[in-house]
Order: sequence, then structure tokens, then C-alpha cells
Amino acid sequence: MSDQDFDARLLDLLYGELPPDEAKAVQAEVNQDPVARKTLEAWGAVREAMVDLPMPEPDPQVHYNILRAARAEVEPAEPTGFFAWLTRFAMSPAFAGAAAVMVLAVGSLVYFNQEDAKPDSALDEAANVVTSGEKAQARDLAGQAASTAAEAEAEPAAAKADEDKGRFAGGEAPRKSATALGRADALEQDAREGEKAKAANPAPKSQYRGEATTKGKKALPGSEDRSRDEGGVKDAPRRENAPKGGEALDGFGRVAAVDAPADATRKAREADKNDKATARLALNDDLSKGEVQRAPEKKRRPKSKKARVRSKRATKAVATRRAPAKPKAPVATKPVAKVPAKKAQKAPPAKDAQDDAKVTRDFAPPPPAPVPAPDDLLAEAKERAADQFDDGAADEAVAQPETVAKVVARETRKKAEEVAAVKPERVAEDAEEEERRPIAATLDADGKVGDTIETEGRRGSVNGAVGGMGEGAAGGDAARGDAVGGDTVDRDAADDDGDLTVRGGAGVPIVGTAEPAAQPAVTDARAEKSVQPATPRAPVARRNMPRRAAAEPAEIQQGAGAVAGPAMPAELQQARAARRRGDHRTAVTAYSAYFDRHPGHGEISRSLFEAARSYEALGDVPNALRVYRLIRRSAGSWYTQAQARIQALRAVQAEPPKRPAAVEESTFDAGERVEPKPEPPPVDSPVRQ
Amino acid sequence: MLWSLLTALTRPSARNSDEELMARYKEGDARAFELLLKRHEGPVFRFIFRIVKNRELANDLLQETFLRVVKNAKRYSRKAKFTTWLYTIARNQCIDALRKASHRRHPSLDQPQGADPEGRTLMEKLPGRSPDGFDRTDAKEVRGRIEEAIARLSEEQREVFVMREFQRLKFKDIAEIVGVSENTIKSRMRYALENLRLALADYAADMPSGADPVPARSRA
Repeated sequence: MSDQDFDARLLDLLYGELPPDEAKAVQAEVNQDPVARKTLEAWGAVREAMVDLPMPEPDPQVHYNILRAARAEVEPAEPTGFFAWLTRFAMSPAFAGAAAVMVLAVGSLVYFNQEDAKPDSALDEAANVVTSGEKAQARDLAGQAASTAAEAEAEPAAAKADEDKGRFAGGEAPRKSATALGRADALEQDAREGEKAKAANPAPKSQYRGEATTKGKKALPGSEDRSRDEGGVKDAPRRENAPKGGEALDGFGRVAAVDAPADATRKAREADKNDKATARLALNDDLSKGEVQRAPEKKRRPKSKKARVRSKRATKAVATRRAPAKPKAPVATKPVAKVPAKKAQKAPPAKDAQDDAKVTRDFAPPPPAPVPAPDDLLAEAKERAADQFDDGAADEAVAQPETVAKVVARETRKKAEEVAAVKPERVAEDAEEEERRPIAATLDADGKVGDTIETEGRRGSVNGAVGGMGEGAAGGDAARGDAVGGDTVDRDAADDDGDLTVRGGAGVPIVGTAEPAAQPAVTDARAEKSVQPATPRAPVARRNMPRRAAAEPAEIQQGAGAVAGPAMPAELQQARAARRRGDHRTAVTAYSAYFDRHPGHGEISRSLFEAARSYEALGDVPNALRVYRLIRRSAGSWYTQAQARIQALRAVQAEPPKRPAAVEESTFDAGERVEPKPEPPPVDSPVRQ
Repeated sequence: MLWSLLTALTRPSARNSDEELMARYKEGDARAFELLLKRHEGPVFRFIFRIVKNRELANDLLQETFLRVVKNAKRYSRKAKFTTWLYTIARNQCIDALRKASHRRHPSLDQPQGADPEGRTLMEKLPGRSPDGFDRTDAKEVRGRIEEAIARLSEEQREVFVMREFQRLKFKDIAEIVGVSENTIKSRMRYALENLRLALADYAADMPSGADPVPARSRA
């Protein structure tokens, strides 16, 4: 055995590929040969080292990819094309779900349509909700109508019978046979029986129910049978069963072919119609008067929500259409059923116009709202002025109605602090009341309304008070919009103190500024009466603005594009007051407190500028610069002014120290833009290169 | 009842041989192929991974290998051993992949590590298995060194070693897969073992170490 063969045997022994007998032989040989034993041990050690190696696993995605390919290889290929796609799509769960939803939707639609198709008119609606008591009353009415019709038919039939009998007795018609006489007797007897039947048992068929049945709607269960049983009149109001020419209703409501003249039948039909109309009008009248008791809710057929909504719309439409009509003239019909007047009066009035049942029955038009006369409005305005201002101002307003606007503006300015304390609820109420009032008086601009801008943060209250002075919703609204608009326009036009000045000052129709195109400027309260009918109706959003403005004063600023913010904080008030007094140190302290406590307030930019100015006044230029740099660039901010001040202060710092006073004096004008000093051009140095 | 019994009897199971499962798959039983896949995807992947030494590439080659099995299933003869056929395909895939990535190059175990020409070789850095040198915390590093030692084998030696050591293929089957004689396979296997022993001399404490680790008579 060569060495290679022996090594091959060793490998077989190592991996167990030798048969047992041969393996024992090789093992014995290895035990005798130390070199072979050493080699076998070394290989075994290598194999043992391989045990610690990890066993990486393939990516699971590979497994699924292979399986999918394997299935696709052996399974028949799926058909391709549109129909195959359609089949797969139809079998997909998504399609099944969508189909189920569609079926439900269509079924619901059909069901609701059936429900909604019932009431065609408010009268049908009313007929459907008539209670059993009302049904009996309606039956009485219908019975009366039917009996009247039967009576009208019976009379000509009897007259015809008498006429025939007379003719026959007189020998005018010798050709008439005895059958004719018998027929006349029969007719006469039928007529009499009809009268008896009418007196004994009037026709019970309700015309309302009959209409509902005729129109293909669901009749109340058993209504037709009951009418037949009770009255025996066979659908007197129904057109298909109404007597035609040459026909008449017998006493039992049966259609009988008689020789009665056509005019008698026509008269009977007209009488029937008249009675029906009379009965309907009487019922309507009773319903409107509340003499007829309403149907209890439990007896109404439950409807679905959608059906109720549609019924409500239809009822509203009918009520609206009928509302302007005059109340129907009372018909001389005996009231069917009377409810005690006290009970009817005690019935709670309709609180909500959406109450469909009440609207359905309330066919009478609501009484028109009383239009207050201008004098009344003026008096009311005076009362309100007296409530809110002192007697002198109210008296002045009373004495000179045309100057009410001016008085209001002046008082508003004077008592801005007091007005700010007005409760929003009251302001809202006043605004709503003024909004409802159909008068459109406006404030004279005259610059005074713009002054209220100083009371920033209280505009809502102030303007609400203006509206509450009785100057009319449109006027208050216009003044309000003007104040906000002035604020927006004049933000950048600040004087030294930082206070705002009204650009649209005296003589400028600020109302026109608020709505230049939509509404003409009305600046004279004396033209109130003449303007009133010509004043266009304010748009909805405009009309709603007083209410919203009174509820949330900050919305005024937002609506006009101004920076929104809550009411002016006390710290800011103190700071500005101190600044006006020249106490800049206190102002700086107050501004600092304001910045700490109200970091998101809408006056931050302006206040920063003012604080920086106070620092300048104190000679603290570094702090002034620091505060100026805090002003960020944004719309309506004081960034431009701050940059101008920074440039000015830099120029001051660059110059000799003995000049700051003069420079400060020149740079303290907020509106002045100081051009920055041009910096020297950079010098190219070899080091930089 | 009878149908379910027949179905249960004829359902492919793990007891079926590879050839039977493959035959059933040829007849259209996809589940038979699923069993085949579960049985062989791991070993074939590890074989490919140890050959190409790239996990992503190994996944791709594994997928390609079995896709070829699927496509050539009708040409498969039951007379041939399935594993032989499968590993032949896998090996061919590996060879093709290695040819495409012919730019790869591995440093020698004896090559000094780092920029210092006088530095220690990788072999010198291999830890011994003595109680002092062996540390379980270094197990990961040890495994890495074993993997590296396997990777440094020649392709012929490595494929034979991997197929025999990890895939448990017999030398006869390996010879059939590789297409050489069984003695050639055993010769490559012997050299592979000797090289690994040298590479892992410090790791295996009980591995005989000396000036002549490989028997002189085995050096052909």
C-alpha cells in the first residue's frame, strides 16, 4: 500500500466512510504507526475546530422566490387578458367588499326613496299624522261631503221618477211599459233608502286617507275596509270610482246606471268637491287654530332619519311657500272637534323652527316682526348711552342726534379703560341686537375712531361698545373695521414715542377704507333715514363679524391682518406709561418683565424697539444694540427701524465721544432712516493671499 | 375518506428521498419541491457562501441554483443522485461568479500584516488554545480566523473540504460533482486539512505541532 493509498484510507477512516471491518484494520495499523496516529489526530483537531463555525442561513425572501418560481413552473399558467383580469378582480376580497357596500348603499337608497315618496305635500303629511280622533273627525267631514253628494244625486233621481210617473199617468207615453213604472218606483225607493242611509250612517271615508290611497302611497292599515264597513260609501272621493256621465251613486255608495240627467250628476260632483274643499279648509283652519288635537307621537309611523330630514325639508318648503299667503277665510263649517281654548293656549309655542310637525300644522303665516321706527331706535340708543356713559354725554347725544357718533367716539376715547372692562357677553348681546336691527347708521370718521387705536388690545371691547351705542350694526361694523385697518396701515408710521398715528385721520372716510367697493362711505349720521333703505345688505361674514368680534377681541386684529395678541399686558402698560413720563429706567424694568411673561405677545417687536430706545435714553448703548438685534425681520415688525437705529448707534460709537448727544438727538426720530456709514474697502494683504 | 387516505399516503414527507421528491415535483407536486428546498437550501447556501465569501452573492447564487433546478427538473433523471446534481449546479454557479470576480485577491497567511514588513503574520496572530491563550471572549475572532483559513485554501481544496466537511458529501459524490477521480478528491482533501492544521496550529492545543507537521510521505 502506497503512502497515498494509506492517506486515503486515513481520510476514509476519519470521515467514517470505511466499512466496519476495514475500519478496524486501518485503526489497528494506525495505532502501530506513530506518524499515522499523529496525522490522524491533527486532522481530527482541524475538524473539531470547524465545529465552532457559525451556520449562516439564507435570506427568507430567497426561499419564497424559489417556491413561487417552482409553483409557477408546475402549475398551469393563469389565463391572461382582460377577462382573466376581470375574473381575478371579481374574485378578490376587495371587490367583494366594495360590491357589498354598493348593494347596501343601493338598498338603503331604494328604501329611503320609498319612505320619502310618501308625503307629497304638507297636507298629505298632515293627513298621515292624523290621529284616530282626527280620523274620526275627518271621517265625519267626509261623510258629510258624501251625504251631500248622495243627497244631491238622490233629489234629481226622485224628480225623474215623479216625472216619469206623471207622464205615464197622463197618457203621454202609452208606449211605456209597466217595466218603466216599476223602474221608476225602484229609483224612487232607492232614493229614499239613500236618504235614510245618509241620515242613519254617514259615509265614513276620510278624504285625506282616500287621497293618500289614490296617490299610491301606503294607506293606513285597514283604512279602506273600515270605511266600507262604517259608511258603505264606496270611495266617494276617488276619481276612478267617481260617478261619470249617466251614473249616480246610490244610497249605499254603489255606482248605479240611471237615467238621471247629466247635470244632476255634475251638480252632485260639484257639491262633493265643495264639501271636500270645505272640509279640508275647515280641518286646516282647525289645525292652525289648535282646536284639533295633535296626534300623539307614538302613533306616528317611525321613519328613518333620512326620511325625516327629507320630510322636514318638504314640509319647510311647503310652509315657506304657504307662509306669505293670507290666512284662509273661515268656512262656515261646524267645527269638528274643539279643544278647550285654555288647553290650546297652554300649548307650548314652537321654540325651534325646525320642528317639522309644528311647521306642518302652522299654515298660518307668522306675524311679521315689528320694524322699529328710527325714533324708537334713537331712543333706545339714548338709553344705552345713558347706561354706559355719564349723563352729560347721553344728554348731548339726546340733544343732537346727528352728533351721536362724535359723542360716542369721544367718550370711547375718554373711557377706554372702563370700556375695556365691559363684559364680552354684554357686548356680544349688544352686537347681536344691533345686527338684527335693520338700520344702517354709520359713524362719522372724523379721526376719532382712529384714536381708539391707542387702546390697543381693547379694540374689540371698544368697538363693541360703539356698536352698542345704538348706531346700528353696519355703523359699528364699519367703525370696527376701520380701526383695525388704520392699525394695519399705520404700523410703520410711528412717531418718536412709538405711538401710532392715524393716517386716515380727520376728514378721511374711514368707513370707505374698511369697505371701499362693497359699501359706499356714509359719513353723516344725519343722512341716516335717507340712507337706510338704500344701504346694501351686508354680507353674511360681515354681519357676523360684530358677534365674533365681541366674543374675541383679538379676532379683530387677525381679521384685519394685524398681528394677533391678547389684551395689553399690565407690564407693557406700565412700561409705556413710564416711558411717557420719561422714567426710562422703570420703563426698561417693566419692558423686561413684559418680555419675560409675554414672550408671544403681538407687541413684542414694537416693545423691543421701545425698550431699546429707553436704553438709548439711559445711555446704555450696548444694551440698546442688543435689544435692537432681537427684533426679527417679519411682516409688520420694527426690524427696519431697529436696523436704522443700529446703524446710527454704530456711527455714534465710531465718532468721538463728545458728540453722542447731538447724534442721539438726531437719531431718536423713529421714522428717520439713517443711512449706514460705508465701510472702508478691504485691503488685500499678502498674508491673506 | 378514501380520498383523504390516499392523499395522506401520497403526500410527500420528510421520509421521502431527494430523488422521490424530485420525481413528484416533475409530476406537478409543488409541495415535494418545497420539502426539497427546506432540506437543501441551508447546506447549499453555506457551501456557496464559503466558496464565494459574500452573503449577498451567496443568496443570489442560491436562488439561481434552485431556479435552474426548477427549470431543468424535466431533464433530471432519477438515476442520478439529487445532491450531486444540485451541488454540481451550485458549484458551477460559484465558479461563474468567481470568474466574474476574478479581481479578488487574498493576502497570504504568511504575509506580514500591516505596513510594517517586519510585522507579525496572520499565522502568528492566531491565538493558541492553551488555557492562557484561549479566551472565550475571543471566540468570535477565532471563528473569523478559521473562516479566513478556509478562505485561503485554494478553490479546489476549499470546495472539496467544504463539501466533505460541511455538506457531508462523500468523496465519491464529490468526485462526481467536481468531475475528477475520487483519489484526486482525497488528495485535495488531505492538502486542505494539512494547510488548515498549519493555519490553526496555535488554536488547537492538542493539534500536533512541530517542525514537520505534515508527514513527509504525504508531500507529493
